[in-house]
Amino acid sequence: MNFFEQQRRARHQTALLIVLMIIAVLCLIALTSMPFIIGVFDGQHDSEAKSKALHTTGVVAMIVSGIVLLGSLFKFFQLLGGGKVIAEKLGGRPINDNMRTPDERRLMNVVEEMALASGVTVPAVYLLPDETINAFAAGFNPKDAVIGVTQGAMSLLTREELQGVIAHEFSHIYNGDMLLNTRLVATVHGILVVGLTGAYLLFGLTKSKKSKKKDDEYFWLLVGMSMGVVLCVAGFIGSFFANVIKAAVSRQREFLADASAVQFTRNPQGIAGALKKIGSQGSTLSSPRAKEFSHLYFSAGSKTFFKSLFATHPDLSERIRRIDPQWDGQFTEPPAQ
Amino acid sequence: MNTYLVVNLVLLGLCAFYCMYLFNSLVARRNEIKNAFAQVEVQLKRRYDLIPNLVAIAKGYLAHEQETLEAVIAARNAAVAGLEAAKAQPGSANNIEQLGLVDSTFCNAVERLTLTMEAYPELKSSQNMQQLSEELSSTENRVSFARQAYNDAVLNYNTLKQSFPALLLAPSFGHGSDAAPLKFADTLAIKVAPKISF
Repeated sequence: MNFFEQQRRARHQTALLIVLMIIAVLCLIALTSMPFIIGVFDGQHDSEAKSKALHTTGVVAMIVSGIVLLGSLFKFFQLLGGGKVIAEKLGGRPINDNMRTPDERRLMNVVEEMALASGVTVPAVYLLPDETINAFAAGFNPKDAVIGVTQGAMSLLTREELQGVIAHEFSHIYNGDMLLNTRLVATVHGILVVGLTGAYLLFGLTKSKKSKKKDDEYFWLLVGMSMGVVLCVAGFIGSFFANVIKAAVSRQREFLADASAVQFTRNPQGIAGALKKIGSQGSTLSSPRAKEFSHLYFSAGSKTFFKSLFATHPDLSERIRRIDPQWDGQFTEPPAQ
Repeated sequence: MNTYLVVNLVLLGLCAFYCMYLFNSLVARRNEIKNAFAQVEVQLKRRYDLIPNLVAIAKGYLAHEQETLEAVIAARNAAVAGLEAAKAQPGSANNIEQLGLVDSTFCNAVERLTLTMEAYPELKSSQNMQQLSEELSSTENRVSFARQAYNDAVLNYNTLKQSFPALLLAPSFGHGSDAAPLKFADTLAIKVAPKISF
C-alpha cells in the first residue's frame, strides 16, 4: 500500500468536501434572501424599488447568516466537553497508571510505541468492558486526547494487530479529526436552526389568525408566513445535504487514518488482520450511549445497514481491500478464548 | 490611489507572508528532527538499562553459563559509555561510529544470551521471564519506531526544503544542507552485492 499517496488522496477529498460544505451554506443564505428580489427585476419597477429590494435582501441574508453562526457556535461550545467525559460515558476505566493484567501492560506498551512512531504524546488510555473489537479516540488536541480500547480488542488481537488499531487512533489525534468533526456537526446544527426558526415562525403565525385584523396586518402576516416556509424548506433540505457531506468527510478521514496507521507501523498486515477479525467478531458497543459517538470508533458500532449516504465509516471490505489488495474475501475467526 | 501601486503592494505583502511561513516551517521541521534524534537516544538508554534485570533473572537458572552472562554485562557497560560520549559531543562523527560499534557488540552478546536461554524451558516459562520478555520486545520495537520517526522527520524536512520555490530561499534562511537519515550497522553489507559461488 502506498500510504503517502493514499493520505494525499484522502486529504484532497476532504478539502473538496469542505469547499462543498461552504458552498452549501452560502447557497442556503442566498436562497433564503432571493425571494425578495424575484418580483423586482422584470423591467416594470424603477431603480428605487430595485435598490430597496436589494437592501431587504441584504438584511435578510445577514439575519440568516447570523442564525447559522449563532446555532453553530452554541453547538460547538456544547461539544467542547473533552475526551475523558466521552470515555467515562461509554463505561471506560483508565489504565495508564493502573495496569492489572499482563494484557493491559502489553496494551500500554503498544500505546507508547505508537506515540513514538507518530510523534504524539502518550494520551490517557481507557479500557471498555465490551467483548467485541473496537477502539476510539477523542479530544481536540494531543494534550487532552483520550484513547479507548475494548476488552475484546485487547485479548483477541495479536500484538501486531493491536499496534495497527492503536496507530489508526493515533492518526485521528495527529490529524485533528475530532476538531474537524465537531466543526462540521456545529455547521450542520447551524443550518438546522434555520429550518427550526422557519418552522417556529410558521406555526407561531398560523396560531395568531384567530382575532380580526386590518388589511395591513394581514400583509405582514403573509410575509412572515412565506418567510417561515422559505426558511423551513431551505433549512431542512440544507441540513440533509450538510449531513451527507459530513458523513462523506468522516469516511475520508477513516481512509486517511488507515493509511496513516500503515505509515506508523510500516506493517499493513497488522491493521488488515484486525479489520478481518472484526468482520467475524463484530464491533458493536453495548453502552446505551454508544450510538452518539459512532463517528469516533475504529469500526462502525452497528452492522452496516447504513451502507448509504449517512455512513460514518467506509465499508469494511473496501477498507481491507485498500490495505491488502490480495485479500481473498474471508474474514478471520478470532482465536477461541 | 494608483491601482498598479495597490496591486503591487498586495503582491509584495503576499510574498512577505509566504517567506515568513517558509522560514517558520523550516525551523519547526528541523527541530522535529532534533527531537526525534533525542528520542532515539532515550530508547537506546532504556534498552541498556533493562539488560541488568534480564541478567539478574537469568542468573538463577543459568548457573553454568557464567561467561555468556559476563559478556553481556561487559558489552552493556561499553555501550552505555559509548552513548554518553555520543551525547556529550553530538557533532562528532567519530563518536557516532564508536557508538555504532559498541551497540553492535552489545546486540551480538544479547543474541548469544537469548539463544542460550532457549535451552532452559523452566527459565522461559517463569512469570518474571515472560514479563521481562514482553518489556524487551517492546523496547526493541520502541528503538525501531524512534528511528522510523526520525527518518520520517528527515523526509518531511527534506521534501519541504527541496521543493520549489523553497529551494531558492532555503539556503539564505540558514538551511543549506539536507538532513541525513539514520544509517544501520550493516548498511555497508547491504550496499555490497553478495558473491554467489557454486
